[in-house]
Amino acid sequence: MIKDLSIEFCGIRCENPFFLSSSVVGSNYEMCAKALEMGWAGVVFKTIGFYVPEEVSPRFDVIGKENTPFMGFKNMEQISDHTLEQNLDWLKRLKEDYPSKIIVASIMGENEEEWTELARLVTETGVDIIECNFSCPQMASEAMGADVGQNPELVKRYCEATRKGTHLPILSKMTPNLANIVIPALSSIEGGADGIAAINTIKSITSIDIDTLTPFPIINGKSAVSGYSGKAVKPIALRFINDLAQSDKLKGVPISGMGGIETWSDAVEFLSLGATNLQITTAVMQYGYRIIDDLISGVSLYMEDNGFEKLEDLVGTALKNIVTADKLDRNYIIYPKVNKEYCIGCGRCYISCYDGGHQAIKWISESREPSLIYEKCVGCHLCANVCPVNAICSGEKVYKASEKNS
Amino acid sequence: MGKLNFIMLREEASRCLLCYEPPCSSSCPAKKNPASIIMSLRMENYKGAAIKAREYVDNVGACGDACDNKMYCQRNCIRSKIDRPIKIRIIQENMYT
Repeated sequence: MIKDLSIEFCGIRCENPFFLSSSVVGSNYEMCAKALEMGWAGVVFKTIGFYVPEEVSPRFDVIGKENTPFMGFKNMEQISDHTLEQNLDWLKRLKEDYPSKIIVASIMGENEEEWTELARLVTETGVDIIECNFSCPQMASEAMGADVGQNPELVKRYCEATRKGTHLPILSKMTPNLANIVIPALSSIEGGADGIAAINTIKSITSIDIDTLTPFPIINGKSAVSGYSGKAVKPIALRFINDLAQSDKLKGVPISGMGGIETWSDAVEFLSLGATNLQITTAVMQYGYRIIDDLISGVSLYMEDNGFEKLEDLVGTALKNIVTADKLDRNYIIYPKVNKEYCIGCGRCYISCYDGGHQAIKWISESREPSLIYEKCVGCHLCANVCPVNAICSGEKVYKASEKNS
Repeated sequence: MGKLNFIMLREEASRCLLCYEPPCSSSCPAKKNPASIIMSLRMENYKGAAIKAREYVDNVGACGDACDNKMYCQRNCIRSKIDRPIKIRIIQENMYT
């Protein structure tokens, strides 16, 4: 039985938290219609503006390691390359044909007048929410893109301009290319935004063709810094979501979380840090809209196993467990414990403990067995991290006999 | 080397547990060191891996010669304690043909 995954976001009831994020995956009527019919609760349509860009070819790069060749993804796409009229027509038809779904219009202007006018135009189409894209890192125009999102004054003014053109909830989409995301987020709220979407892509150079000495993707012998996304960026995204959710000044401000969400457990993680809406692109580009089935099923089964009745009950549940490093308990060591039944004798724990730890594992060559040297072990658990068969778990917890305690 | 062979090699090298005191190498009667070839593959040093594989063939013969096709390397592969051994012979043959 599938649990009720409905959740309120910006005052709007959504059938589940899963939206397509603003990108190529939601860039025309047919694509959005297909995704909505397959179970996505909403779509943030690919960013529209008066500016219609020319795109490069090719425009992506991927990075991975070993037998996982696609962990991180770099893209060089800008905002929609369809005309504004065409996009507005698609938005209108999507809301008409899917009235119970949530249609979000992502907009990007080059000056205050454009933000106001775009807000007015998309509001007329009947969409539910407006997302202000302050954060695309690869716009060819300097007046647009991620550098706007780094400037709190500009963010505030553009939010105010957007507010002038609409009564709808406004989401402000943040760039991660800065030190403190709370500053522009606060400016957004001061400027009239209702919620925060984070994170957009991270400025990157994923890899360089070492034969031609040009970064990928190569466009007529050149390349440029552009946005990085996918599973590899999830840790960075979660950190920014935590920063937003822990901020007293942003209390109660709805967060739409994104950055590397691929599986149901990624989704639970973002919810547990306070997001009430989740957006996904890269995983859809790699696997298709069909990932929605396992996102819904996986979250539902998790709720059942852990006694959550409503998705709301899950929101922010991990926040109380995140403290600053100075508040962590440093008084004990947990020794690793090797489960001999599972250990296959590869010796990886021995190598890593010696070369990357504290030389606390003795290797018995004849029987191919590791043996812990308690006096040297600091309890770092690197051995458990590298064990290919998860044969090492946490064992005895021993309080340090430090001078402070004695 | 064909493109699919290359993908197979990468997948197969990724399955390797990169053992300490690797039994594949210590059990080779020709004293080849297949573990070091696979380590080179894993570190994307494809050319280095091929040079090592070629040198072994030139010096001690092709895989299966010294062991009479018994493939002690694969029989002793630790990976087989999880599922199935690394295709050590195929990896080497792909590197030197």
